[in-house]
Amino acid sequence: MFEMFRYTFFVYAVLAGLAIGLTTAILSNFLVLKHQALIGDGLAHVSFAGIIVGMLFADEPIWIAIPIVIVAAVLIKWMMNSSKIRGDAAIGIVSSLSLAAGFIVISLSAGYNRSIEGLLVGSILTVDAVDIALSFVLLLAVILFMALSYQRLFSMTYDYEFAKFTKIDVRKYDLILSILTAVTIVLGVQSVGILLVSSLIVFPAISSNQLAKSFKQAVLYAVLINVFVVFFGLYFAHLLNIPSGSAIVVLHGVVFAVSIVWKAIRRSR
Amino acid sequence: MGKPIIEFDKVTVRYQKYEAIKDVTFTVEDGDFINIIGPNGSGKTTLIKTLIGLIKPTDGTILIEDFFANKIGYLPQKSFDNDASFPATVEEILYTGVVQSHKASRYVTKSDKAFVDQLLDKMEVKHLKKQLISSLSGGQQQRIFIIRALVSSPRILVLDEPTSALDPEFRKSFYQLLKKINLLDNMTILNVTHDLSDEFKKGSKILHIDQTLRFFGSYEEYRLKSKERGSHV
Repeated sequence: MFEMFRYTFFVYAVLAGLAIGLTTAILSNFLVLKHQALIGDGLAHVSFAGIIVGMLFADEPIWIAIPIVIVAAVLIKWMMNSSKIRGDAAIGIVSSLSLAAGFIVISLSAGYNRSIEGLLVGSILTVDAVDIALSFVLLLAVILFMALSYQRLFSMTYDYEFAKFTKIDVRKYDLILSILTAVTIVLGVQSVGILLVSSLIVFPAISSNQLAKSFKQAVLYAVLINVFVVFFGLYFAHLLNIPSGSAIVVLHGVVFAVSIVWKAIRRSR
Repeated sequence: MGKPIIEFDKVTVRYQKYEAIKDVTFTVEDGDFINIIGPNGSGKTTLIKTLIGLIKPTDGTILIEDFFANKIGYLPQKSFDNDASFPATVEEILYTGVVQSHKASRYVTKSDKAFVDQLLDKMEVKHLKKQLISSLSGGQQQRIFIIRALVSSPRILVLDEPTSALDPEFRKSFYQLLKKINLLDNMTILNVTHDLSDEFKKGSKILHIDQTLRFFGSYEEYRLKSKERGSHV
């Protein structure tokens, strides 16, 4: 059944997928329940522009994409906090401008010969050891941040104003969360692609929320769901010869449907 | 008469050209129960947010007695209006009130948990501890948010329209609870309200604001003045 594990590229894909899946799952509830579900999608579009610019100037575009996406994430936060622009509108402004800038750069660069499709749907089967190492370093950073700040992040997620009243430095924690989200998105774009990376942030939260009986349980379920979906998504993609990113998202859709039915059955009892 | 613990001196809050509150001066004494009233948009919420430090005054000063400055509990407006699908239990929400009493600490300690249990017991809602907040009635939720405000052992309790979404029966028991906290624990209470019924106001002070301070004094005085002017309280 698992003969594909004989191939190094498949083992790499699973490792990278699990690292990104775990990272997005941990962040998932803190973003979605703060009504920032679309931030993954928005920053993925910024990643597109960042990676294209990076490809023109460096062999490893990720090192140029990461600071660009971090600046965009901070800009979105600033627009949401300092002006009267709603969160979804701020995300829309920054992401559409970035996407437009990315295409302009492509059209002006005669020498640009990389696959746009690769960026859109991802290329998890081509990740290398450096990508995997980076993904695990990021995972460790996110786990450390959560271990040190869980109580404060939960307070901010549940009741932002009350968190401010209790003297939690909400701006500092927001900034760190934005930076970690930005880096996660850039690495996620490399593996599952622009179109699908936000699903790794949105689905774990909404599916786990149907089943969980506490916030801690919701975070735990989100992690389990993403691990299950990434692993079997890759497995079915290989088995059925379909794009891995699409398989992951469709499987997430199935898990969400099952969680809704499960909740309905539990309520009717 | 209690000792003065909060002094508002000519406090003005301006948003660009709009003045939310203007030249507000009053003194709160230890053990006061103050009902803050006024029409919609009159600056009631701005007044208490300025008091608890969420809004900085444009002009004027607010002095809070040192001992009381870090002993303020707060119940924001419509806390229970949070996302109905938010998967948080009662105890998880109550622990967010603990964070303020332990600025250096990042974690909820055993003694914090014991104190939360004690408060839940005192308020007769210990059986709700493990329940999701979204599964509780409006009255139960508001009782939980009062406990969250009390978790930090405050001496001043600031409430922003705590009864606006409660039915009359719950409202009555809620005010009885507040009176009990005020009298038995000698807690100073500042309560923004639209509730005009007599039974909730007797023995309290009234702060009537409409951008500027219109009245500050005892409920009985306020009633008398209103009658003189021929308007209803």
